[in-house]
Amino acid sequence: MTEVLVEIDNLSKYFTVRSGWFGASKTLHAVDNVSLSLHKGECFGLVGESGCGKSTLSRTLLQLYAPTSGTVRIAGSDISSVTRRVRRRNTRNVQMVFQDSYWSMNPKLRVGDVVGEPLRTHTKLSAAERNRKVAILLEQVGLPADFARRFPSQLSGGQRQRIGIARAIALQPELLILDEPTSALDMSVQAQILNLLKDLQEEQQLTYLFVSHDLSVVRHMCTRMAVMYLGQIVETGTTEQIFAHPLHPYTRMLMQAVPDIEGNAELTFYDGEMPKAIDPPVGCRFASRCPHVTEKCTQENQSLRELDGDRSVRCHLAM
Amino acid sequence: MNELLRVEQLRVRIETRERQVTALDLDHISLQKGEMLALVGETGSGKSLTASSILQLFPTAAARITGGRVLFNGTNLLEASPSVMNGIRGKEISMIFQDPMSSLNPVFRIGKVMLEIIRRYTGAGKKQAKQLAEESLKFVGLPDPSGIMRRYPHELSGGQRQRVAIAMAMVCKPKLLIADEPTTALDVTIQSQILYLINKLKEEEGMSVLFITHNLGIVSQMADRIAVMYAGSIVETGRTDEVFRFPRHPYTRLLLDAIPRLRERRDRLPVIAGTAVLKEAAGGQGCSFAGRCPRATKRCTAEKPQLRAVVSSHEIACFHPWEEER
Repeated sequence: MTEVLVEIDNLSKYFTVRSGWFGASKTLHAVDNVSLSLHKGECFGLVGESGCGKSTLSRTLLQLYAPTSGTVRIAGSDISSVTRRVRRRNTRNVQMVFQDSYWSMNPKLRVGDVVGEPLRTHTKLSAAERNRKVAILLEQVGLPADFARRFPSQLSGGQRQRIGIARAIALQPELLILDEPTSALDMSVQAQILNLLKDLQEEQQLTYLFVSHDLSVVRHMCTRMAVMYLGQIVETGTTEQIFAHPLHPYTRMLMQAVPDIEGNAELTFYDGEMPKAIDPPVGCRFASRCPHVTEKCTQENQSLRELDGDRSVRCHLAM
Repeated sequence: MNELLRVEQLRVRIETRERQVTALDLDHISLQKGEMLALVGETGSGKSLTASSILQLFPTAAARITGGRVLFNGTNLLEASPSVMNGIRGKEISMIFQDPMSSLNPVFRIGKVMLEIIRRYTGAGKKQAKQLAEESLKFVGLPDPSGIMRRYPHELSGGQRQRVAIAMAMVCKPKLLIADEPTTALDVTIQSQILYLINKLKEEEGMSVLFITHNLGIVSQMADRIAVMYAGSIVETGRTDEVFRFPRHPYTRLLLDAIPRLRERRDRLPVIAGTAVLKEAAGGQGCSFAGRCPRATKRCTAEKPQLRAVVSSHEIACFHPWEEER
């Protein structure tokens, strides 16, 4: 039986925004009632366009944001309510790899210090032991040990992304959040990084939350996935199922919008953009762009319906 | 022949105190009227530099054209006087960029910038210019054109900004549109809208498009022909469907293999060993891909392969191309 590592239960994160000095304050529903569970050792894909709340969700998992409501349990313990000691353990347990690793590194630190920093904060290793560990980590991500002496600015994009990964696995976390880890990279470099991530996952039984808007990469990496739109999950299931039979109109739109090298030659045109998540409308949030919209869509709230085979969809039209 | 643009033997050197390199050593590319040519390559392959050379607008003063010809409608732009070039930029050849913010001035309203462009290039009066601006904003699918013209760039979304940039680029009905990664910063559904729009310009207005991208999926959907660049040179060019079906240059083939597919799952992605280096930095003559190429022989490191036709319009620069289909 699969073991659950992360359990997200009805998680919401709202922000209060104010337009102008005297403007009325409004609520931005960045993440709205999201429930997900991540199995140990799997790669779970989180897909959606900018503004859909996928970054807010991953930041909440990192405890950078306190949830407005709902709970997140990682390896059985609630990340927000417990003692400092447990929170600290959770911090070690969840690490993140960023899209552009250059902006997530102190340019004045050498690579060795960048990778060794989490070790300095969280462990009692001596400087010599740390250096040995850094050399091992660099080797694990396929870089020579003498890279420790270099500065981030002297490295290529692919090499920097490897450093970002080495830093993230330094504390042997269980969950790695990968936020668009290859979208800033060239095609041939992207393949190298994706292969490295797969190898590391196998060697260390890591669990990945793979946040991306690139569907072909998600298809390549992930076993299960969720699609988000305006703070809500609109569809979940195994990657195989969703790619074979996307149920939600938004998922279908996303898939048709991706230009694939073996894809259909027809360009499809979808009008409209995702609205802002400020005071979202009643009814289906996708209604304004949906090609199949009916009266029911704009009047009734859509709930995430469970379907056969570990699948769910938020659309009353989907069968 | 209906050739609009032809670039021949173009060489660009970048000279700084630390290093001097030939960043571009381009055999030839050509673009017919009403055609879309995709220029494909990874970072540093020289695709954006090619575009800058056509307009002679370099991002750095260190870049210098040291030879070659850029024939636009028969005139060599490299020999044209500055005033002739000014008449061509924006009017005959327009360009859109990855980040539309870079072509929009943040302190001016959209309308002010658009009217300035129109009045300068067409000599239209105020009223007529406003009408032209509204028409072109409507063409790119922006609702409420007069409302958009009153806004500042930061008040628009990324997709809207790119549409404004396209509206500005096409307002003078240029013959050639250079699009440098116009959708890289956008979401996929917005990307499909922008691609649709560029295609519409090509189909309805008969505009030629030089489309610079690293996304091979876009190329396969959009472009009539493709030119693959590596380390400053064209390594393979031909009709898009043909190059995708039967890539002959080892680099093109490796590149196509390295991309994850939407409709097929593979356990591991094949990778290209090593990193790209410019020929001079690698220290030698020969093919710049030789150091990473699985098919390289002694000849490849000694002699530079020239771009030659294998079948009709399919050209490659390689001594040992693949002879069988993928």
